[in-house]
Amino acid sequence: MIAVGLDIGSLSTEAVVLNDKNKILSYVIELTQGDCKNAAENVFYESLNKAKVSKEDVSNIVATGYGRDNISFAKKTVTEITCHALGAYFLFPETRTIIDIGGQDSKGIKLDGNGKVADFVMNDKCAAGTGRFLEVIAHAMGVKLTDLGKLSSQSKKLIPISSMCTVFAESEVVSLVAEGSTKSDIINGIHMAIAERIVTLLKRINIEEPVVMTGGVAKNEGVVRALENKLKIKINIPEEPQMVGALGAALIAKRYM
Amino acid sequence: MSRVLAEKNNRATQLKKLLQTAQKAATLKKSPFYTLKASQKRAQLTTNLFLKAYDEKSKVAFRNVIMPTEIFYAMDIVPVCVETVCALLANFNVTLQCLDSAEQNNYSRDICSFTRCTLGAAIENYLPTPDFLACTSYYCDDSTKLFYTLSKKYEKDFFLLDIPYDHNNVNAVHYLENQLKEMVESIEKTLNRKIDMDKLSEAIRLSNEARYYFVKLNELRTKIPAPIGGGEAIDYAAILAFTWGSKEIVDVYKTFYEEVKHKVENSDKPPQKRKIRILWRHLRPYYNNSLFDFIENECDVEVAFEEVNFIYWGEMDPDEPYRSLAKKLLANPPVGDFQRWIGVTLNLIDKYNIDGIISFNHWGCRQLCSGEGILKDILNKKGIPMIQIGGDCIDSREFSFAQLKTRIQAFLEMIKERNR
Amino acid sequence: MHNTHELINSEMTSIEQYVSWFVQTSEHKIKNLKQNSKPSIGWFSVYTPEEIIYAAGAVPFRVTGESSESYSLARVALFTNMCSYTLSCLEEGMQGSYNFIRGVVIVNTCDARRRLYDAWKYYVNTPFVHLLDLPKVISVESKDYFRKQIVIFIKSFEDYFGKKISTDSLRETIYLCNKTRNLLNKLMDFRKGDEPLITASQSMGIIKASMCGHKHEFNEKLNGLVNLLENREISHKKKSLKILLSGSYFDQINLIKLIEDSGATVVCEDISNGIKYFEGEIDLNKDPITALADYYLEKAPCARMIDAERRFKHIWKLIDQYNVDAVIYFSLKFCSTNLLDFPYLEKELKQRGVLVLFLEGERFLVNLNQLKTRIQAFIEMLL
Repeated sequence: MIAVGLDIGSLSTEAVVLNDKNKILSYVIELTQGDCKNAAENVFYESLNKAKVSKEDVSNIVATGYGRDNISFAKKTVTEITCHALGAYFLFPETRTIIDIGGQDSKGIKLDGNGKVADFVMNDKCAAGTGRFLEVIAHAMGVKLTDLGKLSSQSKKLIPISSMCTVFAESEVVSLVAEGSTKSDIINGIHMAIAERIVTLLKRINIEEPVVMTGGVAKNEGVVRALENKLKIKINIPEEPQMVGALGAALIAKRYM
Repeated sequence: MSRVLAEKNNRATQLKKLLQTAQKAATLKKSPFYTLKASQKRAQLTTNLFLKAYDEKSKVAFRNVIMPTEIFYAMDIVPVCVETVCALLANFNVTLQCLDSAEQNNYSRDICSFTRCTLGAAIENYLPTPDFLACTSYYCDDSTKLFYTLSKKYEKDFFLLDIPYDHNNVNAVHYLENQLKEMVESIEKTLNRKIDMDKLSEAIRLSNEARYYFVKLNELRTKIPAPIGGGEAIDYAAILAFTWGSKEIVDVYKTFYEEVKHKVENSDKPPQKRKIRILWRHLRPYYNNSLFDFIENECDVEVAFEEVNFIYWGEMDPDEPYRSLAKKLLANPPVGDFQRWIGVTLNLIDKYNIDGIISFNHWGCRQLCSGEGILKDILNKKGIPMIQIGGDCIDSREFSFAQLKTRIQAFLEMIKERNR
Repeated sequence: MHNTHELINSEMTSIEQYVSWFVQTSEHKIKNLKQNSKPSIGWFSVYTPEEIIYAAGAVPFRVTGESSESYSLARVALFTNMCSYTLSCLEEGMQGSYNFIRGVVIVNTCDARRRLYDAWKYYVNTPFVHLLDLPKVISVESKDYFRKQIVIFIKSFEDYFGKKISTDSLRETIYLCNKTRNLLNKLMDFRKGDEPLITASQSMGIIKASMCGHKHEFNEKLNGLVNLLENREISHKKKSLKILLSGSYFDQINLIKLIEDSGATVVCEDISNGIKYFEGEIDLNKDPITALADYYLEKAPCARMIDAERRFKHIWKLIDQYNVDAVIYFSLKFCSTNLLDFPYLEKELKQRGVLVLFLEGERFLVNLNQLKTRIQAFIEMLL
């Protein structure tokens, strides 16, 4: 009895395969590349392959994420908020707050003592405070997105980035590069700026520990560190932060099997 | 206004212009689908009144959402509710043009779009030239400034009814009562006609009668399952209506009550599962949208009640019309200390067995949205969830349905999970 | 480029000394208040009758929000899209900056302040919080109503502090505050000539200091400065471009400096940190309460008063008095009243040949670079 969860995001799509003993048999992450249906099908079949199970073994499929409504083979759709909550709570029991920073949006989710969603906040209007912000900056500085974390750890000087807007921050970064500031210092400043934005968002739900961070940006140790410093707490990071939504969907699929 | 309009302030011209633009619009807005006869009657009545305002023979007063209208009906004046007229204008598909017009004339986009749309409509000369303007100092600064600006544009007298902050203040009723009398004197002078006090008493009586039916209707709505949907009921927006004091609205509300009563008494099958019951705060988007349809049908919850339909005032005394109207104005929850409004919300939550609140945060509506931090805090302590969905009642460019959908679904999932 | 800072060299040190004292007074506002044995009462709007607070034996001071680092607490309590001056003040309150004060007075000037009252009562632990209602119109009725509100205001102070406020004590404090007004008005006179004797930055520093309580000391010092300036010869250098600043709450000296570095002189500020605070004086021939009510209601018009025409007439009067060439209109983001007045005022001024530059910003001007371009372009256009 297999449950599959699908998270179809605007940038990436994930699938998680769960058995009836709640063991994660496999997970797959792929770029959506503008085609939700295609991406969903790809990750679905690939994850089954990896798990060495067949389609007939699958009892239930639940879809979440931006593209959840277009997946005909999903039996049910649930929002990413509920899914991230379930997924994070599964991986880190007792979790009270979840910070999810994805490619295009960021969210804060508050759980009650039973792991149920008590409150949530979303920022999906503004690129600042999302993975998009980091992409723009990485591009402006000619560095790889995946190197941002490591580079910022070498920072020696604190450079505050005052711009609230991604477009302005980009031009601010360009002038800083021209003025001779080091890449590490600038990137660190950018990480602090993102942390500032996220914390402002989170203040609306009363952050409580333990805190889990999910979404692609959780792989950036610089942002994680900046958040930990600003909030003065330790943040739990799953082994694969990008699959938490799909995991939550799989858990719901299992519930309704 | 920066642009000097060459057109005359001729109402026939203004109506013609409005209809011409509406016809040119590529897609006409779909009229909301109303299941009740009463709702159709109401829509007809408000449209007729609006069109009557374009008649050269009509005496027209521009009023804001809580300016009492009993006085106008008593004096045979057609009231045009200058803010909610934007909702009507949305039917004519001219709102975006009006908003652009306002922006081109230096009105910032951060100003409430009801205000901006009306300013634009005035600049474009779609509105019927008023004979008189009257507005209250609440709900908000945007609205009062709007009236001042319009009075300058149309070069007509403007009366500001200054509502005292503290309804408990011993001076409050007296101050308002005197202002109401002053306002009537001002209208009498402008229109060269005297008010007939018998007619005013009659208007108060009619207002009471209409209120009677609406209150009974509100009682019926406490039943589970909800006898009517919020999507239909919200358009009554009783507390903002400009029909109080008219004869016609009594019939509309009476029909509303009777139709719902009939539904309740003849509901055949018992409900299988209690649906989630929502209390709605503020208004809704007035351009083409499926927000309520999505919530009530797709998400399968009931919008059990809307704050804009809560009758907060008691029966008025026809023999003391000015004092009664003053008291009605002061009883308005958004006037004064926000804690009073919160008290009303908490009562409604109890009365209507509410599971959660959805507040439609209209962009620029600072007076409503800025109190909600406190409200949310109090609700949190009581374990009642509330979500604020940002949008714009008039400006369709600020509406992102996909984003709202996720938020609403997540909110409802949250409630469902808790109730499991 | 014309430099308004050039003054007669031999006396420069003295004026600088005075200005330095005023600036320090503002900077040490909180410290001085804490050291004072009298209770401190915070106020926000220049429509607050400080005279009554003084007569109650307390020290009134303006809450400016300048020490708030961000609005992270206030945003949650109120709303993000809100007047940032209000947010910064609430932030200070929620940060605990005012744990030592005994009360605040909030005037019902606009939607933002109305909600500030709700939020302050709920989130900040200040023992005495009073809302003073202010009418939006000026009429016989509204004056009578406002007078009654002042009576209530006085009574609530008497009840809280357990001390009666007599008519005589009101006359005394009116006299004291009038002295401040007279001196500040005199100070403004020195900015009216071809060559202002003090700069806009200096003037703003002095005006700000007048709102920190301790009016006796302030009056003494300002009197000294005024005497000094009275004995100055007025230089007849080339007249520079004269700017009037009007709009929302504003205290950012860096913007003033930016304007002056671009080749213009700010000669008058029609803002609460400017002449709105002290223009005119209270008529001591009337009974004190009526005098207070009349003065404060008929004060130099703020955007929150409905009558924009009256506001325009006042601005026009200032343009005449200060020989103003152009107006810079600053609106805080989300300040509805100022945003809605702007098109009307701009049109009226333009028709009379006075150009207006519209600037929008937050309480702390993080967008200074954007403003710089606009200001420089505007001034280049006029020069």
